Amino acid sequence: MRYLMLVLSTPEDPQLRAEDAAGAPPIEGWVEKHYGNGAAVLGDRLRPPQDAVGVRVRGGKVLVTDGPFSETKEAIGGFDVIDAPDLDTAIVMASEHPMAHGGAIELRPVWPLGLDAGLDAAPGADAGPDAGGA
Amino acid sequence: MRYLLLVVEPDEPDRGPTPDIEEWVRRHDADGSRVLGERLRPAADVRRVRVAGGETVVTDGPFTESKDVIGGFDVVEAPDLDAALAIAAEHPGSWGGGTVEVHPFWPTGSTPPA
Repeated sequence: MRYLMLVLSTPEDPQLRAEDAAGAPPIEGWVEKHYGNGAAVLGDRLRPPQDAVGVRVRGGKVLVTDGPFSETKEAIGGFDVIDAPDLDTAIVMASEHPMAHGGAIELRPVWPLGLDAGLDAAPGADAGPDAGGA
Repeated sequence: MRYLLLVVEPDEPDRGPTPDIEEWVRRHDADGSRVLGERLRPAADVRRVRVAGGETVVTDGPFTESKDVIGGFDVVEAPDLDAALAIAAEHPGSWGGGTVEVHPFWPTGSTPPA
């Protein structure tokens, strides 16, 4: 099961404590372990929210808007696509990421459309609670 | 240059594949600009993970009052931002009620773009 892991900075989180951030493990170890064993598939750091660009097409016209898109100071600082046998394993992987200590990690389960041949379309790949509803 | 496209759209649990999205995927897989992408489950299935005082704290989504959700994502390879924006404008997620957010990669150790 794949997850989109969003790495969030959450400076306004009232529960954020300096000692948790200070105790975060280094990112190099996380990358080495999870990309090394193939559980992490692809990821990178992302530029700051003001460098994101929103694209909408309305009435045949392309409307382009510069970020940031949210009123909060929360930002997506990076992402990783991970492959985990189940949610519990994905949660452990997320908890090992330094930004779980200094921000937050969001796990967003994929919901395969079955467009890609192979892995994603394999029977049972869609194991979510509402599987089969599409 | 790589970009993360986040498809922000109304949070409807029964979003299915459409001929438009199939066509977009097929075209950009064929020309090599689409590296990887998936539809994502509704906001209620998102989990947030934090570690506080040595304990892992997991919170269930959704996390905002918003009726929109990141309904899918694609990683695309494009020569420049304009090309990435053109790919995003062809994505059915930017039509109708949705927006495609184009987030430039910022590889560690790289210098900021001019």
